[in-house]
Parts: sequence; C-alpha cells; structure tokens
Amino acid sequence: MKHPAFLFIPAGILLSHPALAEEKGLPQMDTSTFASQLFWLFVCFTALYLLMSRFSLPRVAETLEKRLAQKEDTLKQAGQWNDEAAKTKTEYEKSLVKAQKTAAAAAAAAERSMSGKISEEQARFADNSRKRLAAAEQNIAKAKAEALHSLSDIAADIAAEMVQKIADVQINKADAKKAVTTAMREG
Amino acid sequence: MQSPLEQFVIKPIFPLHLGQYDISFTQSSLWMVVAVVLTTLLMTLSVRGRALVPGRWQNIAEMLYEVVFGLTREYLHEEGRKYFPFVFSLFMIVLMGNLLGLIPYSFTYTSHIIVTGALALFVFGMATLVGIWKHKLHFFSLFLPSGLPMLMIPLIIPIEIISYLSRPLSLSVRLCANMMMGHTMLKLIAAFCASLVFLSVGLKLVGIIPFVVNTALMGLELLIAFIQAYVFAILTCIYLRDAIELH
Amino acid sequence: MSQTPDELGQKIKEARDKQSPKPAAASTQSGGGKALRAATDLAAALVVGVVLGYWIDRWLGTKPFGIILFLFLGFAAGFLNLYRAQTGQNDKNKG
Repeated sequence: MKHPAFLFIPAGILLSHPALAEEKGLPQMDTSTFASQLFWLFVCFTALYLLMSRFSLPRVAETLEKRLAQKEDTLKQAGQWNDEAAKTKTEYEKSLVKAQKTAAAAAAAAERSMSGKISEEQARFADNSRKRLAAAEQNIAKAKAEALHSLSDIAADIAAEMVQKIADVQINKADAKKAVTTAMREG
Repeated sequence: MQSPLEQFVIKPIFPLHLGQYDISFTQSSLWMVVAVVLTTLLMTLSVRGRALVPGRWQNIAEMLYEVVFGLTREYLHEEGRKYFPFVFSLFMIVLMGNLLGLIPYSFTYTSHIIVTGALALFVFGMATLVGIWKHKLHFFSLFLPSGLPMLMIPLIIPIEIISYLSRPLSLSVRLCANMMMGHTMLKLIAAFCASLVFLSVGLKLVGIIPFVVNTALMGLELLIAFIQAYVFAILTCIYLRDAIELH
Repeated sequence: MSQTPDELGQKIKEARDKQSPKPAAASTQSGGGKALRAATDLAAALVVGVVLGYWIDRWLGTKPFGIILFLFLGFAAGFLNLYRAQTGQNDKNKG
C-alpha cells in the first residue's frame, strides 16, 4: 500500500488546477462556511456523545459482560465437571486396584482350601479303596477256601466211588477224604 | 471538465443565522446528522436483542466497541473507562465521515480542515486541561526532558512547546489531506472513465482499466477511512495518556 | 466425542486464555502513510514555529528576528516529532 506517495500526484494536479486560480481557491479555505461547520459539528458531536455515553455504550457493555459472565460460568461448570470426572476416574482406578487385590487374595484362599480338601478326599479315597480291597481279598480267600473244601469233598466222593468201582473195595468216606487232602497238599 | 474540487464545495440546504453568524444547514451538516443517526442506530438497534451469540450487525457494533475499548485500556489503563465514550464518539464521527464520503454524490465532512482541526484542537485542549487539572503546575515539566544540561534548557523548552502545539495541527492536516486526496483521486479517475464513454467502441474497452483501478482504489479508501479514524482515536488516547502520566 | 479429563482440562484452559483480552494489535503503517505522517509532522511544527515567531515579533517589536529564530526552532521541533514518531516514543509509530 503505497498510496499517499502516488496521491501526491493528484494533489499536485489539483493545486495547479486552473479553477483554483479563477475561483476563490480551495473550498476548504472558504472561511464563510466555518461558522456553520463548527456549529453543526458541535451540535452533532455533542448529540453523538450523549447518545453513546448515556444510551448505546452501556447496552453494548452489558451484552458483552453478560456474554463474558456466561462464558465464565460455562467454563467454570465445565471445569467443575471435569474435576469431578477426574476424581471419579482416580477413585475408579483405586477401587479397581483394590478389587483386583481382593480377588487375588480370595483366589489364593480358595485354592488353599481346595487343595486341603482334595488331599483329604484323596486320602479317604485311598483308605476306602484299601479297605475294600482287603475285604475283597478276604472274600476271595474265603471263597477259595470254601471252594477248595467242597472240591476235596467232591474229590473224596469221586475217589471212594472210583476205588469201589475199580477195586470193589468199600472205603470209608472219612478215609477217602483224608487221602485226597493229603494228595492235594502234596500235589 | 468539472473541477474535481467541486465535490468539496459547501452548499447550503436551508439558510440559518445566529446573530451575525451564518450557521446555515448545509450538505456538510446533513452528512454529520446522517453519521450521528447511523451510529446511534448501529450501536443501539443491532444490540437490541442483546443476543449472546451475535448476528452480523451486532458483531460489527461489538467489534467497533472492542477496538476502541482496547485502545483506551492499552493507553489509559483503568483511567480509560472515563474517557471511553468520548474517544468512541470521536472515532465514530471520524469513521462515519470518512465512510459516508465514499458514497457517490455524498459529501465528506472530514475532508474539511476546519472540521478535523476543530476535533483535533478539542482533543488537544481537553488533554491539556486534564493534565493541568491533574498535575497543576507540575504539568509543564512535560516540556522539560529530564537529564538535560542547563545550557540546553532555554533551547529545548521552546522546541518542546512547538512540538506539543504542532501535534493537533499535524493530526488534523493529515486526516483532512488523506480524505481530500483519496476522494479527489476517485473523482478524477471516475471522470476519466466517464469521458471515455463518448469515444469509439475500441477505446471504450480501455475505459475498463480506470474502472478497475477505481474499484481497487475504493477498497483502499475503505481501508484508509478506517485507519484514519483509528489513528485519530489512538492519538487522542496518546495525548490523554501524556497529560495523565507526564511520561 | 469422548475425551479424557486431561484433554478436556486442556481445552478449558485454552478457552480461558482466549477469553482474557489481548492488547490491540499494532497496526502496521504503510510506507506512504509514514511519508504523509512525516510530512505533516514536519510541516506542522514549522508552521507553529513561524506563527509563534510572527506573534512574538508583533508583541515585542523584534521584527524580523523572532520569526527567523522560531523558524529554526520549528524546524528542530519538526525533527523532534519525526524522531519521536520513528522511535515510537510518542505513539508506537501509528498514523
């Protein structure tokens, strides 16, 4: 913006204008208009000053202050909410950590009690099975003994009969049994 | 060609006399009244709704308010509140004068040295009175820079006084010259444009060039109108500050 | 739209900063504007000097020494104006 520099040119043209020589000169220098200009400038400026200071500017100021206050309020509110949010966040984090600790402790306790129960259960189970096994063994032995007993009876019968058929010798059943038992023991 | 100075001639609308003085209502007075009315309308109607979210006109009004308010606060600090309506009125009357003058066939009252001179002298006188009222005789130390050799004092004091007195003159001449030169330029180029209309078709196209120049110049003049009003407001604040603070 | 309280806090702070008004930005004056200012500052001081000198001559009957002396003083005052405008001592170089 180099304006007044080149505005000096029209100013020069102006001042050398032939009209200036013929007429009274610059209209600005016509002193007969000064009183009117000064008077009306005074009237208008006073009116403007009064209107502005009494009427318009306080209203603008009021609006601006209201907006400023509103903005300040909003910001304050936002800040408050933000602080609350931050507080809630830290509380949440704290309680989260606490909850995690509690959970870990509970899990450890549960594990401990569980493992106790398990070993107990295992011991009982082992005991039980041992007892049952023993009982079963006993039963088997008994059954075996019974079976053996009845087998020797049958064998004695068969032996007596065989002796009678082969040698036609009548033998005492008790003797037969005795012989069978002896044979079984040796065989 | 009509003289480009024709636009600055003051023409009475209806004659009026007060004692021996001719205070006719002229087209200059008319535009002053228009300026006052427009300013009042702008600063009142646009903020009538007092909307928290401003519309376009309210925005303009608030922007003007804040520009001037910022100036008074920057230069005069808390003291500025007292002078704000005054500085604002001064700013608006100069700004409106400059802007309204850009309307074709209108009149630029700020192109008259008597108007700008009266405004500047008023500011100057007020600042001086404020200074004297605030600091009494101490105010005149304004003309005596500190740390000066004794021999220089009789030389410096008149120079400082001349410098002080020359401020309103410089201010008013500058505003008036800016307005006058700008408007004369616009007028000259516009007249040149118009005169080309009577030429042949080929040359008529050449008329576009000054038209474009004039349009650009118009934008420039709008800017200058604002800057000059701003400068006037700044210098008012500076005179007041110097008077209040005495450096 | 969700943001952490920290981000929101930053935003609120920024809004606050924006709200506190800054001093009006210094207008940069064009070369032409400066030239015109310098011319009027110099000329105004000269005119004031000459007018003062003229009055003093009429008042004290010292014609023509007053006007000559004050022409030089006016010149000096004009340069003082220029110096002050340039250094921004007077008014931050506006106008």
